[in-house]
Amino acid sequence: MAEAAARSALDGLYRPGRHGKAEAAAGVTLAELGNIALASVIARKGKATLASEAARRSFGVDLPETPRRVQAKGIELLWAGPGQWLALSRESMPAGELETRLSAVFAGLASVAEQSDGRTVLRIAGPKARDVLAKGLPIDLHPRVFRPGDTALTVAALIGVQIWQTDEAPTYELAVFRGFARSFWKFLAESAAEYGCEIA
Amino acid sequence: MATDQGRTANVNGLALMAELTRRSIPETGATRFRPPYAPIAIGALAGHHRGKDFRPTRLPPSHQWAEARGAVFVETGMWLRAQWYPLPGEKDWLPIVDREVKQVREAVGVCDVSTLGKIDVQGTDAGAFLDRLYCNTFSTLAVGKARYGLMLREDGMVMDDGTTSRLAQDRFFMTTTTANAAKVMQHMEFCHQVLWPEMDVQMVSVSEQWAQFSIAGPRSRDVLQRVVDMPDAIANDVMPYLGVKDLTVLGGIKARLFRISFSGEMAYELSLPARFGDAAIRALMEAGRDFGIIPYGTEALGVMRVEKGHVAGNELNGQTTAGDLGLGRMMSSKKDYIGRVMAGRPGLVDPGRPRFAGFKPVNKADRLRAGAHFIAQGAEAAAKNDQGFMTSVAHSPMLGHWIGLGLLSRATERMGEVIRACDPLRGGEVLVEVCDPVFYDPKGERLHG
Repeated sequence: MAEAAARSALDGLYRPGRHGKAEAAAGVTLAELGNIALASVIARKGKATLASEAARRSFGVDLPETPRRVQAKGIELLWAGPGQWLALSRESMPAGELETRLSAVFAGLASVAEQSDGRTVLRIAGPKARDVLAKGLPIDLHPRVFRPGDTALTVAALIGVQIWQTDEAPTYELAVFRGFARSFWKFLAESAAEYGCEIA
Repeated sequence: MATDQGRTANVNGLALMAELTRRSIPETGATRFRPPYAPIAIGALAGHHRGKDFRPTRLPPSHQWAEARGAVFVETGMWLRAQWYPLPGEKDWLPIVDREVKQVREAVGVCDVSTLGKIDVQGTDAGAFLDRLYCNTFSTLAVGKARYGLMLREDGMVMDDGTTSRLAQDRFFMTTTTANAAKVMQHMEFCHQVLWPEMDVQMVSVSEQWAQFSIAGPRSRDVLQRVVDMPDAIANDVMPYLGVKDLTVLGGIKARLFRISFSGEMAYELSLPARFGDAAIRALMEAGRDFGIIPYGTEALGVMRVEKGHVAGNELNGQTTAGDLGLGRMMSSKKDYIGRVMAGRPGLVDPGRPRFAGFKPVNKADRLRAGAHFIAQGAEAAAKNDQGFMTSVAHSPMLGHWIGLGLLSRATERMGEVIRACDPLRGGEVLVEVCDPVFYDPKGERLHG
């Protein structure tokens, strides 16, 4: 029987290296982030405060109440709507494991559903990252209004995305629904070409 | 402002206004203009969204595999799905689809059904919430069981259908049709946020999390027993029709198996994390080789559902009631639910309404056409004599002729009657006999394997 190989939604779509404008330093770098575990966490009726206390006990941070991303030991918690969060772990773990772990943390306080396979997570960084994203995102990413730690649920190139900024390079990470990942990648790579794009 | 947004056209007006007020343009000031004031190509505004990228394409987990196999694809919303899988030398779609249907009914086939909407519903009120959402009851469903559900709109018309399973006392896995996935999710969020905010229920789309494959046909269990890690766990007596089980496949991958059927055959849906979708289709094809497994596309899926008289998008057209579709018995009389009151309006319970039925050609060689209107024999083919229309048709390889489903006034009292199916748009009419909509295995014995 065939070996059960995990397959990325972007499998075979791109070739690492320099793309688009060849002169000067690359304006942006693009990468698909593997080994990302995701789960949605939704507070049970009237239990948001208790769920936040549970997060503090287990991870040392509260659940964010505004569109922010908080980092703690082994976990990142992103606001995803009132009483809803997207939990993210960069630790290598089997499919379904994050749901199991978080269900124990939030037992009776929040409902957890594994989403690791439901999203493809991409990173775009560099001096031209904002210019590339401006071609598809309707929201303003100017540092005056969107900073490291901020997150937003929006659309880009007609595809629903959750975006967050991780540093002032600037570096952004975006989660898109898996089925749309190839279309979204094409939009990003094509939009980045004029600035010179390094694909990791 | 016209095409230059006032950049140049307004200058004459500004000069005239300045002269009339005996001032110069710099003194009166100019109006503002905004880009684009110079001609630019429409393509610059369209940007990336040209040609195939006009809108995004959504691909199911087995897409690359299907492409390499030479599948012919069809767009269903943004999804690209395999419509059929030609073998080398096969050109015409009809013999291909006939072959796929026969092979599923005689042996086994596999179809990627990942495009179905999937919603994770949790909370202490999850069962009660679904009771209000669906016209039939879900709070009584046992853990580890699946049930077909039908939901109505507030106005009493049918909104969507699908199979929903109970994974735990406070957790359900709900499926919707591919076309209505987003609409149903939005409807549920509206119901929770606006109508019943007091309910303890949490819902989230997991449509893209799970790759889902239908494995259908008399040899479906034989194939699956070579893929699941504990073959005895899916034996007929421990996992009968409508059973649901958490298990592992392909050496430890957490998966769920649902014993549900759209084709009318003994069938299962295997759900596993999407990253393993590609590995799963390859493993299923390899495991099924000894049993004659084939992949089948949306067309064969559609033919089999017409043979079984199952309703689908063509019948759930926003103008049909549960009663019209022969599903009136699903409307619970023991609880309240969305659409219950409005479904009782006189116009919606009028016995003269078009009712769901099957239609077969009197001359077996005749081809049926969806969209044809039903007219009594001897009556003029005019709108005033219209008695309903054909919603879906298929060539049935099992019966060897075309068959149809449709909505005909008082159809249930007219079994055996011969009427005309008139198609003035494309020309021609066919004599058809009104019959039961279940054309194949009417007792449903094949489901139980």
